[in-house]
Amino acid sequence: MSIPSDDDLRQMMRVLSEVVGIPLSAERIEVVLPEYKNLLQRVENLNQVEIPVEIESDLVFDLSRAQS
Amino acid sequence: MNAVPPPPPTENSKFENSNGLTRRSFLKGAAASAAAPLFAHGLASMASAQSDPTLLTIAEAGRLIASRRLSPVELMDATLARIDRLQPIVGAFITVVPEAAREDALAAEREIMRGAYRGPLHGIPFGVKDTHYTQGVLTTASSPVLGDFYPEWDATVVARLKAAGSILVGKLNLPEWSFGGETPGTHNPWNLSRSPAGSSGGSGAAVASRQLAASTGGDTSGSIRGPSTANGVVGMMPTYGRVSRYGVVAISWSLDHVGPMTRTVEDNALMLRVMAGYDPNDLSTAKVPVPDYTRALTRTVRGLRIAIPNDSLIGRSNPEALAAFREAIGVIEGLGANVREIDMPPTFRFGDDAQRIIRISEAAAYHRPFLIADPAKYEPSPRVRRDVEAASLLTAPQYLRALQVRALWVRESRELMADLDALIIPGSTSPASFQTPFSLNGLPWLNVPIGFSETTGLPLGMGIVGAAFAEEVLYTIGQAYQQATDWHTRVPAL
Repeated sequence: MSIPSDDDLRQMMRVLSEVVGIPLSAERIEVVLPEYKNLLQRVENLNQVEIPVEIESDLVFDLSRAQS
Repeated sequence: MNAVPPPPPTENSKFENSNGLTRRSFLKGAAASAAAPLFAHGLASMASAQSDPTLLTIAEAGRLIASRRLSPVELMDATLARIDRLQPIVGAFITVVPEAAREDALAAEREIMRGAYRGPLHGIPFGVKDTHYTQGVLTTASSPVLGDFYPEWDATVVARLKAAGSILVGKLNLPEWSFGGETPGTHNPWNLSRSPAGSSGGSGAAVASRQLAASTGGDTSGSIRGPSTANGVVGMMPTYGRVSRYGVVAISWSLDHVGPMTRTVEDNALMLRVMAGYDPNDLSTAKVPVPDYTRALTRTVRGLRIAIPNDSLIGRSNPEALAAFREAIGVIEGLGANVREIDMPPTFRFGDDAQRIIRISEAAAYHRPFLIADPAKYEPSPRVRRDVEAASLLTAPQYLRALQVRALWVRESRELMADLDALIIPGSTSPASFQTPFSLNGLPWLNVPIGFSETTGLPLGMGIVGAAFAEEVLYTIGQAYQQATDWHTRVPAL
């Protein structure tokens, strides 16, 4: 998956930010865009990891489970 | 800094209890029952300790207080005088509470005199990173967002340190919301033109400059480890879940660690013993018994299985840092440990990405109400607002994917540590960065000073990493190293 173009991202960010309840102005979108792209690139990196199907998300991060 | 200027030290204060004992007799009375040598490391003579008790470690001061050779009031007076002198130079504190500290020191002295001695931390001054809630004391997280916030209760770690008899002196500086590896306003005591690193930079600088022997920090991406290296102090990022985060302003709930920052390994063990343990207010804390970490200080490193990263991972590190690291490893090998080089498991290289997604997603959730209420208050730190707003747009599956990668990395880390007692890493490394992958897997990491840069004058450090809840082994190795070297005894010229 490639990261969308900046124009597509701007549109996405405008709509998404409204949906999540922290609406971003056009000015704020320009400030946030580079960091949002950075995060999407990192997500893309993680999508390349081969994860065995039995590996669950660690929703409760509790290392003491290994002790019991 | 928020503080009322302290009154002059009360050298001749006439404290008397109901039996007519004065402070002088508090001290003299114990001399008759003097026991074994006072300073296990021979770091300072009795004369210099009595002339400047701020040079004492927690262990040294604790022994003197226990045997009534040093009054908590005298120690506190000297501490506050040193803070008063160095605050304009180092800038470690946001808030100091001199009057309350003096009252508590007096109360400690009275308790000890009537035989109610609480242990090695009784009467010892301490400071906490200004993310820790402190009852009735301003808590800022270095941000105007919290406004004039005076918590009504102590963070669990603060309460535990107080219950052990330690005395809160003040709140230590950090970057806004603990975001970042610098601490604006605080200077490195070893080179005042340089940074103390961050985000627990105030804590590291206060300990290095002998304003405090005991402080706490918080680590999500290296914020205890980095300042410990930069300030030449001992810092423990304990196993995730070893120490309660209750009452500590969060960056990221599943990545934040709270730990002690001290001058010596022994002091660190003394503090962690008090701070650690299950807390019903923080369900991430583990129901794993807390050992007496000081028992680990006398164990041998002979035969311990230690690994260091291979050259492909650290070969491009700063040459001075690498040379000091190799020398430190040589010391540990010379003490009988078995050392070998290893590679990292495959998921290691994704650790930084996963840590970032998890960290900033959780931070976004934490900051959401503040951002909605008044985003303008984030203006002093535009980076925090930008990062949190960006993370607010991430989706649940994207966050969960990062959690899956973490689960895989935790499994690989457990397998890595299964046939090792410790992994030792240079304080700063290149090309690989170890800090974020090793907060991601939650394993304990003890930073120990290993020398100084001839170029910058700044300290150098190494990180000793263990299996989950294996802090004892880290203390064994760190203590053995400190007994064979003297980096931790150096004092910055301030």
